[in-house]
Amino acid sequence: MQRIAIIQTQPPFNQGKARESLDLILALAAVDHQLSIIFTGDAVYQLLPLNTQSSQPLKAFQKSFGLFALYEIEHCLVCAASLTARGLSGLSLPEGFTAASQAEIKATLASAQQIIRC
Amino acid sequence: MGDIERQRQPKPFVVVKPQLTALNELKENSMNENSTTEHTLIVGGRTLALDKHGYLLDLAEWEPGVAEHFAQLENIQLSDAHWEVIRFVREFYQEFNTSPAVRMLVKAMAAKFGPEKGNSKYLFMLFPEGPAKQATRLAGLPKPAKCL
Repeated sequence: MQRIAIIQTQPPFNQGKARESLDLILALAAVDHQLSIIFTGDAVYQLLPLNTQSSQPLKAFQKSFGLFALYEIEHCLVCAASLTARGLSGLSLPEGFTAASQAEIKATLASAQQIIRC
Repeated sequence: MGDIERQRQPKPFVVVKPQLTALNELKENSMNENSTTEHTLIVGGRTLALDKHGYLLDLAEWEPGVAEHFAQLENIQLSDAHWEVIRFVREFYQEFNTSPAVRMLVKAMAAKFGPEKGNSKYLFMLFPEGPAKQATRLAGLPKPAKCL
C-alpha cells in the first residue's frame, strides 16, 4: 500500500482522458492504495454540473466521484486558484471535495510516495 | 481480481442447450455471443435490444421478467438473496452511473449489508460465473468495464 497523489489536469470530455484517469483512481483504490486526488487547471471543469437533457447526452461519469467515499479516498482537493481563474470560485463542490490553496496542495504532494499526473 | 475468478474456466453461454430450447419457445433470438445476427430479447410481449455482450441495451427497459429470463440462460435459480443483489446493483448504477466490478461490488455490499454479505464467497455462491458479470446482466445494466 502506497500513498499516491493523482493530479487531474484534463477537462471532462477530452477524448476520454478524464474517464481514464477516473478508472485509474478506482483501480488503485480497489487495491487499497491511499489516494489523494488533486483537481487543477482545466480539470476543475469536471466538477461542473452536466446537462444530461441534451440531444446527444454525454455520460455523466462524474456521478462516479461519489464512489470516492466508498473507497475511503479522503483527500479530494480542488485548486482554489484554478477555480478563481475560471470564474468558478462560487462553484459548489461534490461532497468530500474541498477547495485548497497552493500551500495545501504542495503539502499533499510532499507527503505522497508516488505522484501521477493525468 | 480475486483468485477464485482466475481459477474459473470460461464457460460460454452456448453450452447451455436445454435453456436455449426453452427460450426458443419464448421467441428468443440467438443468444450465441459469436452470432452477428440481431440481439434482442422478448419479455412480456416487448422486444428489448441487447448490446454486443448480450446485456440489455437500455436499463430503463428493465423489468423483473428480464432478470428471470437471464437467470434461466445462466442456470441460476433466483432466490430472495439474488433479488437483493440485483436490486442493489441497479441502485448502485443509478447512484454512481457505473456497473460495479467484483471488488467494487464487494466493498459496496459490505458498506450496505455488512461483512456477512459483503464478501466474494457469498456473492460467488449466488452467482458462480462471476457476481459482477452475472448480477449486472440480470439487473439490465451494461457489462462492467474490464470484466472478463
